[in-house]
Amino acid sequence: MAPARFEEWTPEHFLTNQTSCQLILEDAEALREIPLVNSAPLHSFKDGELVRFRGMIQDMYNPEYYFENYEVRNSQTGECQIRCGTYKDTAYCLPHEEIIIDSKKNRSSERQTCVVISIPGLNEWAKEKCIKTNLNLPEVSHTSFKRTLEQSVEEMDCSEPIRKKEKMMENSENENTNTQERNNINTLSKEHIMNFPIPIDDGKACIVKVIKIYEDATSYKLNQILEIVGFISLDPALSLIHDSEDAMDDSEVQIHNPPTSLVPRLHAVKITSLTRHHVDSCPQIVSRAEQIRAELHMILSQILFGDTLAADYLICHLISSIYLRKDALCLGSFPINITNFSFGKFRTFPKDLYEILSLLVPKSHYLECSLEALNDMCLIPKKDYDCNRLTSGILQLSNNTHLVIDETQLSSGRVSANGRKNYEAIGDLVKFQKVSYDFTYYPMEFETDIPVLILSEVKSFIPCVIQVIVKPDEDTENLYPQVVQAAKQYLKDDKRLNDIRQYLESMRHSDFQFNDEIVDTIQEDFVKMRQSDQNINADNLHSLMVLARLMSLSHGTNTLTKDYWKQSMDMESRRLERLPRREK
Amino acid sequence: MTGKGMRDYTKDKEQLKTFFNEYVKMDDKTGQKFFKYRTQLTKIAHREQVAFNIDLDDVEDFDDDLARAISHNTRRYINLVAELVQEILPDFKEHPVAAKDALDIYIEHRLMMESRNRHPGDQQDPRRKYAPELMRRFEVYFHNFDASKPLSVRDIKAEQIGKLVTVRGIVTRCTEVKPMMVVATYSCDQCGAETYQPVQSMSFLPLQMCPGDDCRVNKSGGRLYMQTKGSKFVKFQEIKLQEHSDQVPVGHIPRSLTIFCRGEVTRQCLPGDHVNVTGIFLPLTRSGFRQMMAGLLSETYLDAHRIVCLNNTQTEDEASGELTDEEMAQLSEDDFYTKLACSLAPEIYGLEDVKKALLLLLVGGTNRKTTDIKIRGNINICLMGDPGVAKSQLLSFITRLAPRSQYTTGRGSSGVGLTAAVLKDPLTGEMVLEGGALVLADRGVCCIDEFDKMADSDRTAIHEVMEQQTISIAKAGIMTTLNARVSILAAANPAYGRYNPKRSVEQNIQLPAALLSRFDLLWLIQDRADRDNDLRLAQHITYVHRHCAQPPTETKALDMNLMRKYISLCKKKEPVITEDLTDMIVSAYVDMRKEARNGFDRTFTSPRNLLAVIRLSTALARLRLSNVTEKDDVIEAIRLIEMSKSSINHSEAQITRTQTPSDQIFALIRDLAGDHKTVKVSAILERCTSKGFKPDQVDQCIEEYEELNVWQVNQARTQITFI
Repeated sequence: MAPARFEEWTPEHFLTNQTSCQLILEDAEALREIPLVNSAPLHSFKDGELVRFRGMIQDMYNPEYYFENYEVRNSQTGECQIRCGTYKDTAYCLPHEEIIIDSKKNRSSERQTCVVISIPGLNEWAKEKCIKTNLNLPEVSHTSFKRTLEQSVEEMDCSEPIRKKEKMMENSENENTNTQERNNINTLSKEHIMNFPIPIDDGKACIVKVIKIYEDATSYKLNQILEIVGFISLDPALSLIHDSEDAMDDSEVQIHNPPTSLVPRLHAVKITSLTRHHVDSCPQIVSRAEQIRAELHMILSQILFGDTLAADYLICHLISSIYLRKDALCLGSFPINITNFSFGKFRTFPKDLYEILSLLVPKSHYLECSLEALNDMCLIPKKDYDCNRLTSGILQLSNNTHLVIDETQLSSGRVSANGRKNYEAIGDLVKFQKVSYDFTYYPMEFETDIPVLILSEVKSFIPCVIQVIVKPDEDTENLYPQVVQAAKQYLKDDKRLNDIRQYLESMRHSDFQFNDEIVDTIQEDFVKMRQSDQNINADNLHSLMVLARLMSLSHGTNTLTKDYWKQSMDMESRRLERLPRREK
Repeated sequence: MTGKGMRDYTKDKEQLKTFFNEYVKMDDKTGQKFFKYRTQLTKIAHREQVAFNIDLDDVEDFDDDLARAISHNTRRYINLVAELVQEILPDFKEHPVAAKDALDIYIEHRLMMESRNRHPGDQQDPRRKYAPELMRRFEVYFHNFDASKPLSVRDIKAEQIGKLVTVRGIVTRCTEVKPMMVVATYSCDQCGAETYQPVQSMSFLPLQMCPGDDCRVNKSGGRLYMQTKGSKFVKFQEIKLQEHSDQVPVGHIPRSLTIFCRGEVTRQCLPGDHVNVTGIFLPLTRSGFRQMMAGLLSETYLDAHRIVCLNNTQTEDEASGELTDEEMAQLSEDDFYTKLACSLAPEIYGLEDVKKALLLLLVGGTNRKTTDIKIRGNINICLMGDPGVAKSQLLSFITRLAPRSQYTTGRGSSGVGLTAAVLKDPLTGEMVLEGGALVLADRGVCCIDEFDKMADSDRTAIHEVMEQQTISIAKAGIMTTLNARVSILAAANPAYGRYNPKRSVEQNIQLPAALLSRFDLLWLIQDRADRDNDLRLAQHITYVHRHCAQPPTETKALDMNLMRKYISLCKKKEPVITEDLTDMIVSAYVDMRKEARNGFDRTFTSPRNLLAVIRLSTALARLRLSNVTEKDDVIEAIRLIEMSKSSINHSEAQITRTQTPSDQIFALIRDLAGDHKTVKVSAILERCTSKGFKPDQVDQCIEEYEELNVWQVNQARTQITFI
């Protein structure tokens, strides 16, 4: 009875055969057949189709009450019928029917609403390739299709565009209105509505209506990555909901009800949270860890002008993730500051390094920190009470998104108040892995897990504990451009690249244990260190242990052995030696 | 409906009538009985009061079944009560009332017309009859039970629809107060009759054709024109309420709720206020175009009956609540003092005495005030120490623990930012005073980090706060004193970056004696390389890394909420010092001064120390929840003061560092600088080589102190600037 193909599922069908449909959806393989909204343009879907969407929760709205069952009376025949409102946005009734609002058979229910956007910072290779083949629609029909949708909007909306909205929008931060996308009824720009933290090329936003019958969705937190399977709602009637009655709610209503051609609604049927990027897991990765690490090490050390120590640190940084949080203590983050690469000679170094890194990690973002950018950037998400939503900032990123901050363009000058706030935000992120969102009356802290890599010519102005000074090797330095080419060529080999990616991914999430024996060694060594050098304190021990853990993980072992401990201590002392101002 | 079946509303109406007439309450102030609701009704009849407030607690006394019914289905009862009151109101009118506004006169005229024109048994068009809302000049509000807990916005669910609820939150937006039409009055241009249209929702369709008898019969088709003078308006304001940060679960965004205020409930709050709103949770009925399209969705709002503004201290009291029995059992265990002290910042190892002192800071001594003399009870503590001894962590823990606290750094604040700033109010254009950190932390703790980095001019702002506990402002035409009853917790680094035992205390701590003496306790925390200490520290850290948890200490660390509750409980006690203790205190103080005079004391002993002893001992007594200070408290207080002094005095006893060339060079540079902030490296080199030091030693010294943030070197390394 159940149609085997997902394209034929409808909300009604789902409701009647709920258990069997849920069972079908449990199968991960089968899920792949459902078309993905991320990659296909919106007009290739039809209203009510079962789709998949992968994204990050950007904002949560208040729950809404909807009619789970509502009674409809046919004014011609007088008979009444009960219709179901679950998984739908508008009441389905033909012109000769009317909804009986006061009917006893109506049943209301609650559902949660969140705004989910495409994963910010997702690198090209990590995006799931779309299976649907009808993408090759010619450009012409693309725009003409859009125009019909928009035209229908024009006919039916008889209310006047509000003049005050235009005045308000002059003050909004985004002035570029994409006029071919919007007609003059809605004066809000596309960027303003979409509200992405960092510009995403073909980013999509969906308003996801999560239906939870028994419990509310407290298990989904902000900035969490979800894969949602649900029914898409592209009904153009949705954009007509707003009316010019309420002065206070104008922009809010507009923001909360954008046209479905831009932001479709998705009625969720099944939600899975994706903590790890989906990479085909391969059991041999662990056994081949050493070999893969050696390859990665070689590539990175070549890029870093032949400095193997810096490459070691960079590998540890790439697999770092937070594994413990308690009160103010958060363990596992390993931000590093790479300095003293000869920027004068090779101005493309930061970008080249970032290109290579973006091939290796699934999510990353490159932040260019010049003085103007520091003063103007919008790093912290801020709650906008006029539109009643959270306006995004660059630091609203999901876990394990690598942030590469380039300070080479930083010049001296005056830092504005906004710049100072941005500076403090980055400092908090690096030290405590927390970002304080601005809610005007109080700040709210949200925890993050964003590995930060800072590239600067001299010590960074952001307080970063681990500073790695690059000691370039003469020959490699002179051959830098060729080295970069060679590295890129080396990485063109798909299998090798895939291996490295899986290696990084699995090492990041492995378990790790400190054994009893090694703990004693650690303590003895720490005491010896303290006696020889006054400057060593508790923080040094913390970072040493984190480094030791990461080193062992990078070699594929789950416990700390004496060798790796000695190696870590050795690395630290070598790194410290390079720093200019330490007195030994 | 609820499972009780249909209620008999006429019976309820009768009951309410008796309730209003007969309910008697004892007045606290005069001790006499008075009829609460009768007096209200009398006032309403005489147009002296507009709001008719009904307390559900009183109804519960009278008939608890009725009270519950009202709370479940409040909307119905509002109409019921309104009709009832309108019926019985003429009985309460004792003397004729003068008309207060145009609507009164209209109503008077209408009543006269009605009595004149009406023939008995005449059928009247219901719309021609005066709408009851039109004649009403009062509004009915219910007050929720005292026992009902204020909910958070996310707890208001669909099952609360129609019920009376109380919500706590912050006001984020409010519109201006506008008049909203409740009854529209029209008059016909043909027959001159008045027609009324009661309006229930936010929008309505105006009537066009006159329904009057004359127009209908004659088919003259008179058109209706709206008369705003005769219509009834009510004040209306829309407020958006948002959850407070402590009501939001981790990782979620605060939710908001729309509130409609009508009549007397308007203009009670402004954006930014913490409020408790009592009202009925209702769905918003949309009519017309919107209803058709959005037929599936319904919006909800809260129809406010009462808005109470909470100031900050009240919000914490409500949130904390009472201690449960098991918590009381925990508290009455022995050695609670040490346990509590160890639970402060458990991840920091050691420093028990410092933690004990911080605990006393949180509790505070007692304030004594007569008309002329004010003796403060707040304790001020200063922590001096080498970098890396977790001073900042202690400070941040205290900031999080104390119910009212502010955290500032010396560099990040200016004198104005600490005390109060004069701003121009954007709405009215006047000069407004806005409190700085010290004012915001009133009755709390203000943590100031990097105290020594503060500019001298800014530091003077703190002098007044520490002793007089007020801030006097005389700027921009505003002359006033603000209360700043704060305890100050300061953390500072010694002048040379690290404590130099070869130098005297004043040279290390570069703070004026006036300021130092104002601190009750001054702790010097040194980072000494001690084998046992280091081993224990290493063990602590490795445990944390291994087990992802704090290591179990002998005493289990207490939960922060429990500590907060206990401390707020302690603050309610006011212990006194008995006569026999005064001798003991005086003799201890005299001993202290004798020692200082004999020359071994590097700190400043002044009469303020005597007050400090008293404060600390009363704080200890408070901690024990007793009303009397005892000898043990005084002994412990004296011990803490001794420990703080010894931390400074005995620092030079352990000379673990010989004076390295770096220190000598540093002394030379300091002398060379004198009062200037900048020194040229070439001048330094000259001086040092003449004294016999080598250039690379000089460079080493410069780098070492740059690392410690004592001075900064410019790019070309030719100039040094002191920070």
